[in-house]
Amino acid sequence: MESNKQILQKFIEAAQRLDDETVGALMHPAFVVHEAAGLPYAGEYHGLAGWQKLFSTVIGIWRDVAIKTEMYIGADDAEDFAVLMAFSGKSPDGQEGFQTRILEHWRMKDGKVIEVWPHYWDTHAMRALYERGQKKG
Amino acid sequence: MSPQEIIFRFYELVGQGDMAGAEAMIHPEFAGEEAVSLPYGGTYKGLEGWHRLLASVGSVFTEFVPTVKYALTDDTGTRVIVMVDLTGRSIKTGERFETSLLELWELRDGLISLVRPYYWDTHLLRRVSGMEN
Repeated sequence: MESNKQILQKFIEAAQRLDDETVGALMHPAFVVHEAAGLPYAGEYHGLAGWQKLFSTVIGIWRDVAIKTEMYIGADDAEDFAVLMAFSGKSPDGQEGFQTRILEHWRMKDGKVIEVWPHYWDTHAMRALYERGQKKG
Repeated sequence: MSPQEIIFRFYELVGQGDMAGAEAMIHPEFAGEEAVSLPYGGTYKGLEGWHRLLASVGSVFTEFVPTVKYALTDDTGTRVIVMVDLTGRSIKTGERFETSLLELWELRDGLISLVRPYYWDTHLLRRVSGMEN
């Protein structure tokens, strides 16, 4: 039987290779991603449809997006995990590059992924980059 | 003490106002990193940096109350993630806020060598503190 940590790793790896079938199978029915109000994609995204909408919004706003998992922290069968992500890309107009980190709080329930709270290093910096890219773009 | 207990003890000492006790837990090469968009953005090095960081936060916010929910330690025992609920009030605008943050702490030789707080929304803190319209 897989541990919660293995399930979460499988979920994130599947998400990064755009394997929605695996993502959906590992997702709790009450799954939700929260995004801070300061971000261009603020709000709550529910279920697989919400996950797909968020992903398409993020790659629609930023150019050349790359996300790399740097660290998982949490005991094998914990319900809460922290995942550190390196996030890079370019502004909407492609004129400015960015490299930042997101420290994400992931929650598990009944062996499924139920909730994500991505804490960006600097939401204001991302918002300002977005607004500059909109004005120029 | 476990890595988590070290961080919890540090919080406890700061909360009690035992700054000498807290400072004894800080590594000489300590670094406190704050996102540049924050009113107190920048890197604060050493014990002197720790003092400046406290003073900088205290010049912007009052009634600043972090409440630790729980902590996670990595496999090496040198990194601790602390999940914190935070309330406070801007000195400049008087506006109160409630938010959360994830703090990445690093330990060296059993002492605190790094804290890097990932606030839920630095834009919110700028707005509350009067840096944004």
